[in-house]
Amino acid sequence: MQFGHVAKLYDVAGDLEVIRHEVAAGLFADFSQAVTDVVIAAGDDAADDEAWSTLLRYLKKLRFVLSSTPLWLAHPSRHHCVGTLAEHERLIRDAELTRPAAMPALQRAFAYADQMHNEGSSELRAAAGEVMGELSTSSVAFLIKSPRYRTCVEGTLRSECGRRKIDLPTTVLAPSQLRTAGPYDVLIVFGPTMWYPPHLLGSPRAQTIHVFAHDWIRDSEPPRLRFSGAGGHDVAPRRRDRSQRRVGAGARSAAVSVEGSDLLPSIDIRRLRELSSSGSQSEADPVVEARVFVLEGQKGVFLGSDDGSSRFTIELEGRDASVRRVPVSQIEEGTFLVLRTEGSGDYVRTMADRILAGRGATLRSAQERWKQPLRFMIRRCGSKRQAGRVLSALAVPQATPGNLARWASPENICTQDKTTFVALTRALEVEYDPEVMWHQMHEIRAAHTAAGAAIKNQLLERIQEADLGELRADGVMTFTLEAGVGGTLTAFRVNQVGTETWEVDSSQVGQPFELDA
Amino acid sequence: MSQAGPIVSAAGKNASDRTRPNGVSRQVLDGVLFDGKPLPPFGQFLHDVGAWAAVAAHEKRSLHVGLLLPTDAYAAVLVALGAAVRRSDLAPLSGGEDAARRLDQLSRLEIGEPVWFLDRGRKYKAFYEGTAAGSDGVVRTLVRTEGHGGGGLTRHLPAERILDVVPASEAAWEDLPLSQKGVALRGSPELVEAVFGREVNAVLTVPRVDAVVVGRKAVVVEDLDLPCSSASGEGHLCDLVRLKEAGFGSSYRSRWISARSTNLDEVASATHRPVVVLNGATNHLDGFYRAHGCVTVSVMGAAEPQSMEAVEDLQSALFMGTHRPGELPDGIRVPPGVSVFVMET
Repeated sequence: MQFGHVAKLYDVAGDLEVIRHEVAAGLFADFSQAVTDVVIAAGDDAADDEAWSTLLRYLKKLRFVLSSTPLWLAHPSRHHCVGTLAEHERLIRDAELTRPAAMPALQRAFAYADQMHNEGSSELRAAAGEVMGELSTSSVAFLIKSPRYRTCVEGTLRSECGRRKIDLPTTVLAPSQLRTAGPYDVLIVFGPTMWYPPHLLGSPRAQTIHVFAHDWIRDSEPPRLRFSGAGGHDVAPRRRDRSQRRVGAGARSAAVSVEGSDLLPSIDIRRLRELSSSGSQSEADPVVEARVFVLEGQKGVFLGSDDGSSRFTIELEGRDASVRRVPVSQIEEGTFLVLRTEGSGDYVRTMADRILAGRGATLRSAQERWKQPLRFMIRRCGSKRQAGRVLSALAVPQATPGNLARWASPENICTQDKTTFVALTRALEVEYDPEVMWHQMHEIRAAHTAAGAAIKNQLLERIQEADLGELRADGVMTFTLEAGVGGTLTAFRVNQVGTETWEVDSSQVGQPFELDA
Repeated sequence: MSQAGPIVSAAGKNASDRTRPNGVSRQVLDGVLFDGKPLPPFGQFLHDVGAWAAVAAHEKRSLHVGLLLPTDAYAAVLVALGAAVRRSDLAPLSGGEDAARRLDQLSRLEIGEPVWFLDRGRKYKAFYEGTAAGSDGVVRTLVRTEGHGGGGLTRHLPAERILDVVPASEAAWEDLPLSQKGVALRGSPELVEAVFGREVNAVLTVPRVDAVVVGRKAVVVEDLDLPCSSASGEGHLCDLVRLKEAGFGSSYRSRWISARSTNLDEVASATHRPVVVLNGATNHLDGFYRAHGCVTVSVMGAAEPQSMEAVEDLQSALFMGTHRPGELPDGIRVPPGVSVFVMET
C-alpha cells in the first residue's frame, strides 16, 4: 500500500461521515412480511420436506438479494442469481399436499413476487442513483454483502450511470476486500451495517460512507474494536452521523420490521448433520474428525481437524502470488484454499498413485494393513485416549490421542520415525515384516512429495497466466491442470473457519458442498 | 556504495535536540522526507512509540504496548526505526563496552560449554575452558577448538581477542558478525548520516540488534521500499531500518523472525534485549507469551480477522492480575481512531 494512502487511511479513521439512507419500499416490505409469515406457517420441520425446503430457500434468497443489492426482480441477470418463478410451479403443487394450512401465506409471498417482477424496479438502485448523481468526486466504491452478485451489480450501476449521464467508476467490493481496499472519498454500502465487519465503520476505508438499507430492516452497528479500561489509551475518532429517509415508488405504511441478521443466508446445520456420519463405521471409508470451512460462494468443505494434514493455498502479496502447502490448522479466514472440484478424492493422492503406477495398488494395500487394525483398535477401546494408553503399555512411543488421529487418517502416510512404526505394527500384530512395510511407506511418501511438487508447479504456471485481480475480487478461481496432473482445481477464499468438530466419512473430506439454508 | 552493517548511534547531534525528558525523540527526523513529504502524524506516532520502547528496553523494564491501527502497513518498520535510532542515542556501542559485555557473558559459562571461535575470517566450533594467568601474570581466556581427528588445540586468548569468542547459545542475537560484509546500502550514505548523526561506517559496522520484527518477511518487504531523502542524500526506508532475516553472524540492527521460530525464545533470554515488534494479530497471539520479559510492541490492523482475539488476550492478561496497567508518556500524541494499550509485564 502506498505511503500516501496509509496517511489518508489514518485521516479517514479520525474523521468519518456516515449518512444512512432509510429506503421505504412498500411492495418489497410486504413481500418480506409474507416471507416471514410463510416461514412461521410452514414450521420448523419444513426443512425436512424437499418441496417446502426448496421453496423457502428460494423466497429467503430472493429477499436477501433484493435487500442487499440494487438489483430488481426483472433484472436480466436474476436467473443467474436466484432462479425463476416458473421453476417452482411443480414444487408449489407438491407443497400444498403436505402443508395446506401454510399455502395462503406461500401464495401471498409469490403474488408479491409477481407484482415486483411486473414493476421491475429497485428502490435501492433509485436511491443510490440519486446520491451518485450528486457526487463531486470519482474516488468511489460500492460494497455489497455477497460477492457472487458483483458482476450483476456492476452492470446495473454502469447502466444507472449511463441513464444519469454521469461518469463514475463502478468498483464493487466484497466485505473481505475491505481490509485492503481504499482509501476512497466515498463508499456506498448496500444493506444494514450489521451485515458487515465492525471495521466498516470502526476502521473505515472512505471519508464518507453512505449506507442504503430498507427502512423495515432493523440494524445495530457493532461496537468499534478498541482497548478499553485500565491500560487503554483511546482517542475517539470524530464522526458525523445523519439519516435521510428516501421514499420509493409504491411506498406504503411500514410493515413489521425484521432483524437484519435474520435476512442473511445461514449455514444449513441440518445439511451438516446429514453429511456428518457419526453412525458410519465402514472399514473402507473411515470416520474422521473434521471442521467445516465456509468458502466463498456459500460453499463449505470439511477438512481434518487434528490429523496433521495439509492443503495447498494461494497467497496473494501485492502483484505476486505464491503457492504453499500449509497444515490445515494454519488455514485462516482470507486464505485462498485450493480444492479439487472435478473428480473425487485428494488430488495429491490421485497424482501420487499415478506416479506409483503398477506398484500403487500393492503399496496402498500395505498401508491399509496397519491402518485398518489401528482404526479397529481405536473403536474397540472407545476413544483415542484409551487406545493410546493401551498402545503405550505395549511400548509404542508417542501414542498420544493426537498422533493416533493422525496415524489412522487416510490423509497421513505413516509415522514420522521408524522406531515408532515398527513398535506400532508389532503392537497391532500386523503379520508382515515391519522393515519391508516401512520401505513401502517411504515409497508412498516419496510419490506424494513428487506429486505435490508437480501440482504446485502446474498451479504456479496457471497463476502466472491468471488475472489475480479477479481472484481477489470474486474470491473464487478455477484452474485446469494438464491431463494426468490434477484435473480441475478451484481456489476458494475462506470466509469462516468453524470451531465445532464433526465426524464425517473420510471420503467427504476436501469435497466442497453447498451451504445455503 | 557502502557495505552495510548494523545501524548505530546518532551521537553526532546535540542530545537535547534529539530527545525529550519522556524519552521520545522528537526532532530526529526533521528534514527527512518520506515519499517526498515530511513524516505524517501517524508515522511520527509510530516512530515515537518505538523510541519510547527503546528507552524502556534500555532501562531493563518489561513492558507491552498494543497498538490497534487503521492499517498495519508501515507500522512495524516505523516502530523499529524509532527503536533503532533512539537506542543508538541511549547506548552507543564501543569496542570497550562490547569486550566488557563479552567477558561478563563468558564468565557465566560452565567449563566445556560450546562457543564459536572466530579466527582469520573463519568460524570454528570450540569449547570454553575458563581463564588462566600466564607467567607474565596476564589473565587469558582459554578456548579449545575441535580437531578433525578428535582432541583439539587450546588457545590462550588475550583480552583484545575476547570478541572472537562467541557463546554458542547467545550468538544469534547479540554477537559478532562472521564478516563485516552485509547487504549494500541502496541509497546514499549521507541519508544514514543525516538520520543517525554519525559517519556512515561507524553507523553500519557495530553489531547489535535493537529491534526484532516478528512476522513474515513478505509483509514488510514492500514497506521497506519507501523512498526517503534528506537534504544531503536519498535512499529507502530499508537503508535506515536495516532488517535482515535472523541468523547467526548477521550484522544488522533489526531483524525479522517468524513467530514460530525458536529464535524468539532466544530474544527473551538475550543480555542485550532488543525491542520486539509483533507484526499483526496472528503474530501477537503466537509470540506474546514467548517474548515475555522483553519490551514488546504489537502492531495490529483493526480490520485483521484475529485482532479481536488479540485485544481480548491482552486485556484478559491484565484482568488476571499478573500485570499492571501502564501509562503512555505525555509526549506521544495518539492519532484519532488509534487505540493503545500499555501494560507493565
